[in-house]
Amino acid sequence: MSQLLVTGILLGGLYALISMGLNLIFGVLRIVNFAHGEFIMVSMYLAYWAYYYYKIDPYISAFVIAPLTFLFFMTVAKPFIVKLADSSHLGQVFITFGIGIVLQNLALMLFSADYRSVDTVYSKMQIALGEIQFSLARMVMFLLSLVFTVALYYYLKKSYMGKTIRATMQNRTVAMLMGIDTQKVYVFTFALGAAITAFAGGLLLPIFYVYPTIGFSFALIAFIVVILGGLGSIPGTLIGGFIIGLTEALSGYFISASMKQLVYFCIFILILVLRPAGLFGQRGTEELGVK
Amino acid sequence: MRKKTLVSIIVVSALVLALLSGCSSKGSSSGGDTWKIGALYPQTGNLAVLGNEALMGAEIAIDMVNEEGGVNGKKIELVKADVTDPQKATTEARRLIQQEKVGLLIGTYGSSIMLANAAVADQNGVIYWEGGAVADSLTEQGYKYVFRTNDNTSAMAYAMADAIPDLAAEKLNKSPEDLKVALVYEDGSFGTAIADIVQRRAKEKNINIVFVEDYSASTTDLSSIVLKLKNLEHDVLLLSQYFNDAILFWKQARENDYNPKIVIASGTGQTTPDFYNGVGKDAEGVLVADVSTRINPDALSEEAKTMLREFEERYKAKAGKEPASHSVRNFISMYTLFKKVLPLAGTLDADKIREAALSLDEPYGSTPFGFGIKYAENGQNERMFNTIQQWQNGELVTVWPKEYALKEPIMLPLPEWKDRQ
Amino acid sequence: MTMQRSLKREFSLVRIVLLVLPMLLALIIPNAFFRDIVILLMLWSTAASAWNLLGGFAGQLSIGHTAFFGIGAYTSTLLYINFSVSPWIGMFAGALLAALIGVVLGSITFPLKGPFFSLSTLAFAEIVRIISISWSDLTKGSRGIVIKYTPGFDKFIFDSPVAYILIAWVFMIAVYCVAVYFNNSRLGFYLMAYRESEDAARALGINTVTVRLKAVAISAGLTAMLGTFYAQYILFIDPESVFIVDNSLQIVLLSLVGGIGTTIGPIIGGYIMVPLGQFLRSALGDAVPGFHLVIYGLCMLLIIMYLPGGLVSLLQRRSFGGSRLKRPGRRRDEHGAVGNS
Repeated sequence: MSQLLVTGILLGGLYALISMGLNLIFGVLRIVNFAHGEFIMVSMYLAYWAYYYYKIDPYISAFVIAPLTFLFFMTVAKPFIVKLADSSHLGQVFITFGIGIVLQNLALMLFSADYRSVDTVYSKMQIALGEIQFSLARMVMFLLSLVFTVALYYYLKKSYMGKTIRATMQNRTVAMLMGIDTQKVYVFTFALGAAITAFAGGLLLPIFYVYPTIGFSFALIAFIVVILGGLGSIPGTLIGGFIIGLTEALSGYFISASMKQLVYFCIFILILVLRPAGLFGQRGTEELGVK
Repeated sequence: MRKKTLVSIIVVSALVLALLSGCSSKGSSSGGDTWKIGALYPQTGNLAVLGNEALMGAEIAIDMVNEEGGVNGKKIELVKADVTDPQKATTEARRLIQQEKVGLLIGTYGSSIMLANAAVADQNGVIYWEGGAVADSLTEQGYKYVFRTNDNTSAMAYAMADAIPDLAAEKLNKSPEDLKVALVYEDGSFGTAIADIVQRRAKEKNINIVFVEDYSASTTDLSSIVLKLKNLEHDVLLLSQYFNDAILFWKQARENDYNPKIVIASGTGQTTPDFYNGVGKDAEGVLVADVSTRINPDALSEEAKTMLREFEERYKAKAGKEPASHSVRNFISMYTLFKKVLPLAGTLDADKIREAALSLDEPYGSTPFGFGIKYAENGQNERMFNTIQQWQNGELVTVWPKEYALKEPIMLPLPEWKDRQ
Repeated sequence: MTMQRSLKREFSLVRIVLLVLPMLLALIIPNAFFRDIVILLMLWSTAASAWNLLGGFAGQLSIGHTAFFGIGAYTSTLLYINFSVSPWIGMFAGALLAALIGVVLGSITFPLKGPFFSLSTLAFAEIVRIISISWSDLTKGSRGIVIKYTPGFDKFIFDSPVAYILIAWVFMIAVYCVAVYFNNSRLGFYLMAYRESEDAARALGINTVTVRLKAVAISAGLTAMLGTFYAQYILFIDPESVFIVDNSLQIVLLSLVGGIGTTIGPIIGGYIMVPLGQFLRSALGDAVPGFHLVIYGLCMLLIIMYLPGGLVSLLQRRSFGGSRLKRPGRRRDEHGAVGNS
């Protein structure tokens, strides 16, 4: 039983880390990003490529891919983010969905459909604490999710940029009146979200394997985690991740593996109906930027 | 008014595009100097990995036949279509027959696609030559013009169940009736079909299945099943999985210290080199039901051996890796079609081909898998079977049944994780 | 606009030509492949139209409509396989069931706004899909159901594509008429009023819940009937083909491309995107795997980014679709000035 709980919590940390970026893009900016899964997929492929051709460990390449992603979105992709921010949410769904399809099939063209994974020194290492065993790689993801949560939380709360972001989220017009360049804020926040997602992707590679269509399942979970935890709430994403991870582990064990997805979809609908702001979101904030 | 015309023009051009996309009737199918054959395989989407491998197997067969002068002096011309689901398969099959004027259809990977292909072929009185998809239902529809040279799901499931007495009971020193068997499978069409047939066969053989559970192949976590199995007393684990879940399951088995004693799997999960790439030496000892070219050479005819060698060389040159079972299945099926059946028939006329196919009678051992060729009235090759292979030193070798075994099985029961390095 | 004038527009010469042309071409040109495209084109255009009743007119943007599609397909098929009920009757049974489920779903999720509503519909559709796989005693799960090819009118199976062409066309016209009704009736006005401003609508005494429930019932029911048509045309259904999210996205895409909230929009969207997809597949499917989908994705992107009102907006100066595709808080009036947030 305790093994089950540990498994669930580690899984939760993993889910939290991959959802963190979406929390910035969807939670804060309210941009419905249906290409979130493909962002993860692309960074996994990049990490794979770095390992396969240059023998660079994914844990190291993650630290390179993330800033590169950030720069990419701040420069090349900038006009595109602006266009995205200006579209209705249905437009966003389809623009990002279209990008997702393009990315998926580019990956297919470049890497073929084969399932790729890496076998690093640590990817199979186990740690045992008494009766309980867990994989080192998952533990690393879990710890990093904690680190990121704390770091992002304080960043948003205390730093100037963080306050600027929050101000823009609350009321775009007033922020503009206060002299904030809202466009820059949007682009920055999006780029940051994308970079965090890319980082998570790199870390995922030793644990999973990548193939062109791996994005969808991750994306769905990320949306659930973000909404469950509360849009815009960083600690919320962490807690949301834990809840989903534990739910999955427990329902998979006590009910059946085929039903566990059903369970978290039902939780998802319940939260949406009962408390769309999520567990830690401020009540009423879900309406921001929507209507 | 002008804008309305603009939109109407756009719309009409769209329809014309649709027309164009098919309307190049490139001559008749066998009148010219080539045999026009249509190939329907999933080259993109979720089934792309094996779809492309399967297609490559077929292409190599065609290359080989063409290099030897083609069939009755005419080369084979392959027209390929990418079909990722039954709807597209239906549309593309029709397009290939009507627009491209192919005289015969070959395919595929993916049972629902196979059924769609067969339905269209049957409606149009054209032969559908199946190369690798396995669902039993293909030959249960009453189609006259459908032929399958490769194994079907029953063959796989039977191998899994039939091997248990020899491989499990003997190695564990128990009688088969005393064994406890667990069955875990992915809930797609293949997994469920295997699960159904295995359970039926196990009942016939008095083998007790004490645990059955399915899951969705797209899951990101299988630890719940692993933990349940860990707490369950059982001797044999039967699996039917795809790639990602096979690797995930095996990794999580190690992570959670679940030590199965005997594992017999079927399905693409454990049969491809990617499994070994994904879990490394942990794959050693795992048993898999599948077709195999790593069988006792004494069981193969000389022709089969030469065929196999040449195929492997060409495949490695083309794909950069070893061929896995789906490419070989399609290779054998299409080689049989173009080397043995078509020359006999002399035409793409469906009835003549049917006649020619039914007349074939080759003993076991004539093809690289050890299959023979003898088609039943429903089109299924009856001289086909699955063997049980085992991962030994990084490759899959046949260990059962004895007449086809290349090596003895090792590591049964499997060592515990802590005893493995 | 008076009723007469707007009806004239809905059934103008151009529109009649658009609606009738593909069907006529398909009847005249005896090419099985072309006919197949036209049938699928009409099927998906109609599905998009049915979706549009809820998504376009009421503004409730569902991305889970494939659930209704699949419910229709499975209901009629299971009744046929197990009880020999004619699929014609099964079709209505499926429609009823879908309408009921739609109403229940709607009453739970209508209070949700924007993306939350959409995500809830997606979650719901996935739940239905998972149930269809797990409840295999009822649905035969992933194995799917093959419908034996035994042609007969009462069995809704035909050996000639002509019958399917005509039936698909009748469906398309029927749903178009429903859309026209929506566009010119009180129900439609109430829905559009809700879509433009919920508060204002309620202030006017409109029962926004009832009208939306009516819309979802109709939309779901019609979508389900199309599911039955699909089952009888392809003669094979499984959860992977009828409950998959790609279907939901496809029908929304068609409406977006053509012009969301308009009567002819979804149909134009279908006319463009279905042949485009097929053309790319035929022309490029032979080359490197994936290439044709990359191009398709790019086309999709370009159209949505640069023609947010859909193709229909090219027709109208006042782009109704366009203004809705922009962020609701930044509506531009005719002179291009930005309104208040």
